[in-house]
Amino acid sequence: MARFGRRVAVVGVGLSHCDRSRSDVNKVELANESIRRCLDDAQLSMSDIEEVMVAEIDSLFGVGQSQMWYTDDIACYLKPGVKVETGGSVGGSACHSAVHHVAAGACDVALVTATSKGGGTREPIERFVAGARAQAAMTAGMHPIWDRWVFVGPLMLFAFMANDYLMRSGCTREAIAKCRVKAAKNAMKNPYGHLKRDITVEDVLNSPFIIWPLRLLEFCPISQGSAAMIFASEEKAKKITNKPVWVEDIVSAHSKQYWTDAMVPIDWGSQEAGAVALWKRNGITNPWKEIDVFEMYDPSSWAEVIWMEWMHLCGKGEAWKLVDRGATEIDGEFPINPSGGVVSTNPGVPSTTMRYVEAALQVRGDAGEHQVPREVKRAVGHGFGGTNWNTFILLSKDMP
Amino acid sequence: MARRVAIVAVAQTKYDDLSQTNWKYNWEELLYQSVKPVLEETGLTFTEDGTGIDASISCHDSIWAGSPFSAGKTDDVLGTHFRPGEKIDADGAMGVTEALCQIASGDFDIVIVGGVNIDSAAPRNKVENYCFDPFYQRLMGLDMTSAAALQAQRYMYRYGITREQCARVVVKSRRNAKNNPYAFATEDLTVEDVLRSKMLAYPITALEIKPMVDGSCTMILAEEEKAKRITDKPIWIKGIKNCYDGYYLGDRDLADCKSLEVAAQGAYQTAGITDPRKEIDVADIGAYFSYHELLWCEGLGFCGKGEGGKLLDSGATEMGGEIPINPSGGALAGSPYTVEGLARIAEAVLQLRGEAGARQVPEAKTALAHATLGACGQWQQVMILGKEI
Amino acid sequence: MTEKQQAEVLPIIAGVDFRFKYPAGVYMSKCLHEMKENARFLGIQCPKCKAIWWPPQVVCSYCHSETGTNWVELGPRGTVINWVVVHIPAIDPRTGEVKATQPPAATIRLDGPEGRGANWLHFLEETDLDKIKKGMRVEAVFKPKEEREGQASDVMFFRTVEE
Repeated sequence: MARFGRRVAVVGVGLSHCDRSRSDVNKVELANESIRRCLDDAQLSMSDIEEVMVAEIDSLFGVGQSQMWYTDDIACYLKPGVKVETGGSVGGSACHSAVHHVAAGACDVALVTATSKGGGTREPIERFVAGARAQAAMTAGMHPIWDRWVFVGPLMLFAFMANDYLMRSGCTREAIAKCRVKAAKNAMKNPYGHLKRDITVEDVLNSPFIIWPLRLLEFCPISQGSAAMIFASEEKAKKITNKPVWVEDIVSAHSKQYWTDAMVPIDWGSQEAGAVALWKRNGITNPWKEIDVFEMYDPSSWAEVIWMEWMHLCGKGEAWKLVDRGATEIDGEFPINPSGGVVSTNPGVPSTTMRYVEAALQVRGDAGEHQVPREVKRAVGHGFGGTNWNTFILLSKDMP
Repeated sequence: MARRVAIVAVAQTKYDDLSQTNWKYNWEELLYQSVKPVLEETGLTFTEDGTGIDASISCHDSIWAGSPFSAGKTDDVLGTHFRPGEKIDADGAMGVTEALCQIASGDFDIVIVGGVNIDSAAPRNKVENYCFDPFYQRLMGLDMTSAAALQAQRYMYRYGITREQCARVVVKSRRNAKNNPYAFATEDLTVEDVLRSKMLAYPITALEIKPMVDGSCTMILAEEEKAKRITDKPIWIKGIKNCYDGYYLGDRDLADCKSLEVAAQGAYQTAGITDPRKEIDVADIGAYFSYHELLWCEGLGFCGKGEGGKLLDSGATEMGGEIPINPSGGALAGSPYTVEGLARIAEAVLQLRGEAGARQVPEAKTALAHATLGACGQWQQVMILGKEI
Repeated sequence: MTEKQQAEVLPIIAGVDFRFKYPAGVYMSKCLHEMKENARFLGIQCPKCKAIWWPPQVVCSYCHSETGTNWVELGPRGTVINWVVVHIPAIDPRTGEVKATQPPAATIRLDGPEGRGANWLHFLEETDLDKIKKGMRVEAVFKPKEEREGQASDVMFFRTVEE
């Protein structure tokens, strides 16, 4: 069902190589890397881009009003643009802005760029400190008087989430470990993934507790990388590519501001509100059957499992059993994160753009080794960040 | 664009330096002071069924709050708990462009846009220095004032603009602001007062920069049919365009403002304006520094290149002149960061609704609202608003 | 990257040291003041949908009604709903200091009027994981008055109580 005044399609995607430290480039060069790949993918040049949407989190990544610095490297010189900041979901919000602008007729071809160059040190000792600093930096996004003093970044959030699920669902730790191993296996097939480790369920179960009951290997790394997408109007899309990936719908759901009340425990109503709106608006009554691939923002394998329930992919208390029997594997009933997900590659700002990119690649059949072995007509990309802000995109092969 | 969009209500707080009263309000309470009036005026509430506000946009230039996810502080007062939200991290005027696109796309019918900042809580120069890249420009100790000084000097050198002309912009702004109940700085100033105030970075003195103030501004946008039902004074967005110049200050002649020219041309084209000086009745523009007003008039096409000073001298931009500029007093009379662009749009709306009180430009039908951000006006936005659809 | 390229990476330090002020606002100021002066938890209740807000805020996040002056006392006891233990060094963003260890952090549902409560993330006095159970009752233990600053840390921790 067409939602917008004009149809919009994804006509190009680009990813950079992700690593703990991309010290071969500076931030704007890193943005440019994925943009060039994206332009190549769409067979367009910089002058074809009419508007640029920048996703960034200035206060985390070292430069204020960073869209200004990016300008020359992101095809934005003497062009209009947008800058959004919605925490980890910003990579998705920027795409939503692109869809809105193209659908509105503000432009016909919009480029989305999302880059992160946080963390970034190779030395093992410094890596540990970098982790603590990253958590502290994200804690700075929480309320300065009420939350910052007690919170230890998103790590603590996922630890709470894990303990809550353990208590209420009776899940086994093996099931969660299997989810993590699935991500690792998928990431090995993804040329742009960061963590490519052949880990086993035992490795996960023996990894140390970082915040009990969350284990080290159940959580994502800090990566550096960038992602880009080009959205175009129907008319332009048909000229640019013979494989446009249609944007059937976009949904966002934000949340009240205090973390300590909103998320512990664990009321993922924002995930639910967004997903339910997406299903309802698009006549999807059984997402498990009607969606072919789901790229979910999973900073922890616990999140992937738990949010399956909140997004109404299955019933409460059921997700871990489905994961345990392999239903969400790349060749399973309902593949989730064939790319390896955020838990394998997490540059933060681009992470949601990457979910959208991966979903688009799946629809196009261009995901290479990590393409799911079934026809993909509809894929969903999801983003998460800030104080539980969520974005969803529904992509399809058929024109809506 | 596909659908016509109007601004149906605006509200702003009286801009003030809250540090003087020990910051009674926090960000969300300050924002609520402008959210509440627009809700009351329109009778709209936050709904899921298309009978009220469909989505919210929170505007916050996050570095001024010193924290990531800073726009999240406003989620409760902007009604975005489990609801669609967007968070623009730039000047609030970009949030209005975003709302326009969200509505024109067909996704939403009614969107609320709110922006708030507490300038007085931030270490100004350091935050501005943080905006410069860490390799070339930051370590030179640049902030927006010293960057502006470079631009002012280049502009004066190239075209013979004088310091007195720049100072007169401040005098005019404060004088206009006397009639603006929301303005902060409304004192009588002479050119000597301005030129003799503390020198910050030649030629820019302390009275020639935007005062740091706190406050918020909120507005509601709606598609045509609903707009006509909500208010009998909808103000239509006739044209809107923004544009980025290059980043490095050395890459451009700072006496030019190419990005403003591109933004202005784009907005005029959509709005069907061919002679801006004649067809625009009033303009509220983003002048953070005194010389900005002169230079931006050139970019907006109100006069030729290098003639910004002459335009001011002619009196054409005074109240009662051919093209009154900044009846509100503008940023030089005090506007918080982020709110700046929203306040200019709010003024344009009030002028077109005939609600501008003692500073009303008689029979204003077409208004221009401008916004700028980044060192030396790198990013520029021009919006044309009209009383008639 | 080749070894040669790696050797050529030069670090520079271009950090900026910011100090910001954060106004607590009308509602939170009152609540912090009550903790400091009277060792009391004052939340606020939405007059329309009855949700309790802790910390108190100007409008209800759920129904957007103004909370006005609908103050309600919460606690000092509550129920433990969830808890975690931090094993990594954590940096206190207020001071930059590294906290090597911390007691378990828990979500405590403070007792409220009409059976409604409000959640608070705080520390437990109990450090033995085997003794912490969902549903256990705890009570706030405040610092002595002269040490209280009007911050959440005016409460040292929550102590297990028998009921």
